[in-house]
Amino acid sequence: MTEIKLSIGYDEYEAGQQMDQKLEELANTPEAAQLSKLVIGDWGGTYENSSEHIVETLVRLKDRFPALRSLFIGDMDSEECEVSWIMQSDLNPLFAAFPDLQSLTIKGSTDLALGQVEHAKLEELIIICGGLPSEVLASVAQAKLPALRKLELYIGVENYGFNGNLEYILAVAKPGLFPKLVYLGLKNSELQDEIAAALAQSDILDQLETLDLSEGTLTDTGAEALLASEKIRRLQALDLHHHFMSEAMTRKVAELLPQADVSDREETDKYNGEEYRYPALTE
Amino acid sequence: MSGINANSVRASFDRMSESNTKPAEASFDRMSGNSPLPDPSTAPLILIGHPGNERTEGMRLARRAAGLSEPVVVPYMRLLSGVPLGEAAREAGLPAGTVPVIRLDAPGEHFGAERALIALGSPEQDDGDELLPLRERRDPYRMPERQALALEERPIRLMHPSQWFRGFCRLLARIRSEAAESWPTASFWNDPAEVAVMFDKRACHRRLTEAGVRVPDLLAEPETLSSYEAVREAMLNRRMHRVFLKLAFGSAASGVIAYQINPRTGAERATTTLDAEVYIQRPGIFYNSKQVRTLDDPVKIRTLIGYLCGHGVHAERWIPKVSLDGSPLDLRQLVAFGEAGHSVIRAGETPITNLHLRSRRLSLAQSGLPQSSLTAATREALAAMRTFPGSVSAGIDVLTDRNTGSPYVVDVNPFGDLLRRVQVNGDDPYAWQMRRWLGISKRGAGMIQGG
Repeated sequence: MTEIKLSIGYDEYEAGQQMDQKLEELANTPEAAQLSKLVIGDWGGTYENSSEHIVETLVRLKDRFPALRSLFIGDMDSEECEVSWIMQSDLNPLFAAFPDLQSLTIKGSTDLALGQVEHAKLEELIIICGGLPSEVLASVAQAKLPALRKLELYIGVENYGFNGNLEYILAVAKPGLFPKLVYLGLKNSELQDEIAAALAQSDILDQLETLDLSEGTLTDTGAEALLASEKIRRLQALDLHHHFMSEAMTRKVAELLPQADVSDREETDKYNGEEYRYPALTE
Repeated sequence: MSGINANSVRASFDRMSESNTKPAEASFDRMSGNSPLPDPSTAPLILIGHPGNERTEGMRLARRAAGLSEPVVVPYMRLLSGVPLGEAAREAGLPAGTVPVIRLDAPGEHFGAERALIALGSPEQDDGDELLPLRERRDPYRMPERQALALEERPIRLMHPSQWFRGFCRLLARIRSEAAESWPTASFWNDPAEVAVMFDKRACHRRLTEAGVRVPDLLAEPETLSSYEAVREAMLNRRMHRVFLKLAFGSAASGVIAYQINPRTGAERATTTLDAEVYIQRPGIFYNSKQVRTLDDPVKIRTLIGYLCGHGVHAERWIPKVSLDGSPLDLRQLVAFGEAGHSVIRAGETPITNLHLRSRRLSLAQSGLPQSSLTAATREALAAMRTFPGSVSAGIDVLTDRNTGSPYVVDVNPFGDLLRRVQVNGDDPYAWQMRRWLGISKRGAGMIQGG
C-alpha cells in the first residue's frame, strides 16, 4: 500500500518540467509495481494545459502500475489554481486502462468529459468542482458501475460551469442505478433545497447509509422537507455542513436528527433587498 | 532575476538609502556583538506611541515587571502638534541629564494621528523628504494641508496612503534630528531610517533581495507599475500569472490584492478586501471591507489596481503556501536582539492569511508544519532582521512554499511585536524583549573586550 503525489510547482514548470516526464520516472522506479494510490496535483500551468497529456501517459504506462487502486487527478487548491480554471479533458480512456481501479477523484470541470462509463470494480467516484456540466451528469446517470458504493458530486453554480437542472441532478440518484451505493453526495449546489426535498421522499434512501447535502445553500425550506421524511431519520449519517438554516432550525435539526452534521452555519447576504447565498466551493 | 535594468534602479536606490543613515546611527556599536543599546537599568526609555493603548501598556507592564523605570511616554499627538521631542520628553518626565533609548511604536489606529500625518505630508510641509524611500515618485494627487486637517473619521476608509506615508517619514526624520540635537548619543530601539524602509514594502523587498534573504520574485520594478495595464503587461511578459499586489505602505491585509490572470482565456480574478465607490464627478472612495471578496469583473479590478498603482504598489509572485485542511498558513515571527522569540501561525480562509478578522491562530505544533520548515522559516526571519542592523526588533512574516518547502519573507513590520496570547517561557513579547535586553547587557558587561 503505497501512495504518491506528483505535482509541478511554478519554478519547475517555468523551467520546462512536464508531468508526463514525472510519470515516466515514477513508472521506472521499483515502487511503481506496488503503487496503490496516485495523486496528480498541479501539473504546471494547469489553467493553460489540460489534463489530456496525463490521461495519454497514464494509459500508455498502465501496465507499470498493476497495483493502482486509487487515482486523483487535479488535487490542488486556490493557492495553486482556481478550481474553475483547472483544465480537465476526456478522462474516459482511464476506465478501460485501469480495470482494477476502485476510486477515482477528479477536481475541476472545465472541458471535463467522462463519455460512456463502464467499470466493473470502481467503488468511489468523486468530482469536486465549482460547476458540473450537464454532459458529465448525463455520463454518470448512464454509467454502468455495478460496484459503486460512493458517489460524491459537487454540483456548483452556473458561473462556473453548471448548465443542468434539477432533473439532470436527480437522474444520477435513481434507485437501482447503482445497486451497491451507500454514500450519495449531491452537494455544493444552489439548488440544495430542491435536491433535499426531492431526495427526502426518494426510495434511493432505502439503500443509503450516508446522504451528503453539504456545502450548498440549504435553508429552512430544505430542512423542513428532510425533517418530514421517515427515510431520512433512518440514515446513519446526514451531512449538512455549510448551510443557511436559521438558528432555530439548526437546533431543531440537531435535536431531531442527531446523526446530522449541522456545522458551519452561514448568514444570508442581503443587498438591495435581494438575498444572496453561495455554495462553499464557488470561489 | 527581476529584469535587466533592475540594477540601475537599485543602484540609485542604494545611494538614496545610504544617505538615509546619518547621525543617530553613529552612536551604535554594531560590531561588538553586544547589545546595540545601553544597559536598560540605567538608560530611560522614551516610548513614542499612543498613551494608554495596548502596546504602550504592554511595554509599561513589562518594564515594571523587569524592575526597570517606567517608560517616558511621548504621545505622537504631542509631536504632531509641533512640540519638539526634547521638550515633549521633559514634559513626560524624562529626568534631566539622562541619555534615553528611544522606541517608536505604531502610529496607527488613531484617527487624529492619521489626519495629522496626512497634513504633514502636504505640499505646504515639503522639506525634501530625506527618509522617504522611492521619493522620486509622485503622489497621485497632493492634498492641501487645510483639507487634510478637515478630514473626518471614516473607520474603514483609506484616506490618502501615500501622503500619509510621506508625512510619517517626515515625522521620522524630525524625530531623528531632534533626538540628535537633544541627546547626541541617544540610541534608537529601531532606527527611524530603517523603520521607513521596513514600512515601505517596495524598499524593504529591495533591501532584503540585496542581502540575499529569500523573498518572492518581484513582478517588476515598482517605478514601472504605473497602471493596471502595466501590471498586466508585466504579468504576461514575465509569465507570472499569479501575483500579490500590495499597497506599498499598507499594514496587515489593508490594500492587498491576490491577482491572477488566465493567459488562455483572458479571464482575471482578484481576491481582496479592498473595495471602492466610484463616482463620475469626483474621486472614488476606497476602503477595506470586512469581507474578502473575489472579483472577476475587469472594470472593477482595474479601478482597484489603478488605485494601488497610483499610491505605490509592490508586486511579487504569489507563492503557493503550505496549507492545513485547505487553509493557507503563514508565520509571524518576532525577532529581537538577534534572537527569534514569539511566533504565531495564521491559517486563512482565503489566500490573504494576515487578515485579522478571518484568520485562525495556531501554535507551531497545531500547524503540522515539519520542524525543518519551521527552522528554515525562523532562520530566514533572523536573516531579514540582520539586514536592519540599526534596529532591535521586528515582527517578520514568513510563508512556506508548498512545493519546495522553502521559506519566503513577505513582510517586516517594525512595530510587529504586539502578539496576543503567546508566551515564551511565561513572558509576553514585551516582557521577553526586556529580559533579552537585560540579559544581553549583563553578558556584554561580563565579557570585557570579548565581542
